[in-house]
Amino acid sequence: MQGQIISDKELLCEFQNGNESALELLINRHKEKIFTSIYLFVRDHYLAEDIFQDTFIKVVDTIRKGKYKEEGKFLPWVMRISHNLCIDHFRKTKRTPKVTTSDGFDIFKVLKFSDTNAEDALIRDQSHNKVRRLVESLPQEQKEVVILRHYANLSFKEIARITDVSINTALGRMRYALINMRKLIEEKQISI
Amino acid sequence: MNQDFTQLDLIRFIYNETLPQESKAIREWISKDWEALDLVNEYKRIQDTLDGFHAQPSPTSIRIIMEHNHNMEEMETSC
Repeated sequence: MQGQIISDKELLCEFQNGNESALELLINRHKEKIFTSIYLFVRDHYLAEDIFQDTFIKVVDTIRKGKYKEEGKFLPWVMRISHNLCIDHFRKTKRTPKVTTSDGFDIFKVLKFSDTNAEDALIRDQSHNKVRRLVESLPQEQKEVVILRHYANLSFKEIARITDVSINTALGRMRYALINMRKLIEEKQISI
Repeated sequence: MNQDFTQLDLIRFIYNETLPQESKAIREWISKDWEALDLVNEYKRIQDTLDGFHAQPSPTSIRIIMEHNHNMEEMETSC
C-alpha cells in the first residue's frame, strides 16, 4: 500500500460511507487549482474564499443527498459548480470582474505565500504582477479558457462542456489568448 | 503551416492533449520547421509565465466546509 495514491473515486466512496477525512483529503488535493481559478475570475480574495466555501458546501450537500453521479471526473464537476457560482455572482452584481477592491487596494498583495525572505517576496510579486497583467488584458471568453485550462487543469473537452461551446471554439479562444499575451509581452516588453 | 496540422493542433500539443502518434508527428514537423518551433517555444514560455501564479484558500475556509459536513451528519442522524 505504501506510496499508492488513492483515486478521487475511491475517496468519494469512502466519504459516502461516512469517512470525513476522505472529504478533507479531496478538498486538500484540489484546493489550489479550484481556489486559484476562482480568484483569477473574481479578483477579490475575500469573495474567492466565499465562493470556494459555497462550492464545497454544494459538493457536500449533493454527495450527502446521493445526487452525485459519477459521469465524469470529480474535479471538472467541482469546477463547473465554482464556475457557475462565479457567473451567478457577476450576474447578481451586474458587473464584470474588477481589478482592485473598492478602496483601490491591490488584493494580490495580501495573498498568503510561504516566502522565507524579502527577496523571495519581491520576485513573487513581480511574477504575479506579470501574470495578472497578461490574464487581465484578455477578453473575458479568452480569460475563461486560460483559467480553466491552465489553472484548473481541465481538458479542452471539459472546458467546452462547461462553457457550452465546441472544442474547436475553446481551442480557438486559447490560441487567440496566447497570441494576445504574446503581443502584450512584445508591446510592453514584459520579460518572460 | 504544415498541411497535416493546424494551429489548433499545436495548442492541443503544448497542453499534452494530442495522441502519442500525433505528438510524434508534430515533434518531427517542428524539428524541421523553425517557424513552427519558434511558435511552440513562445507558447511554452507564456505557459511558464502563467505557472508563476498560485493561490490557496485559508484554513478557515476548509474548517467551515468540514463543520458544515459535520452539522449535516448530525442532522441526518438525529432525524
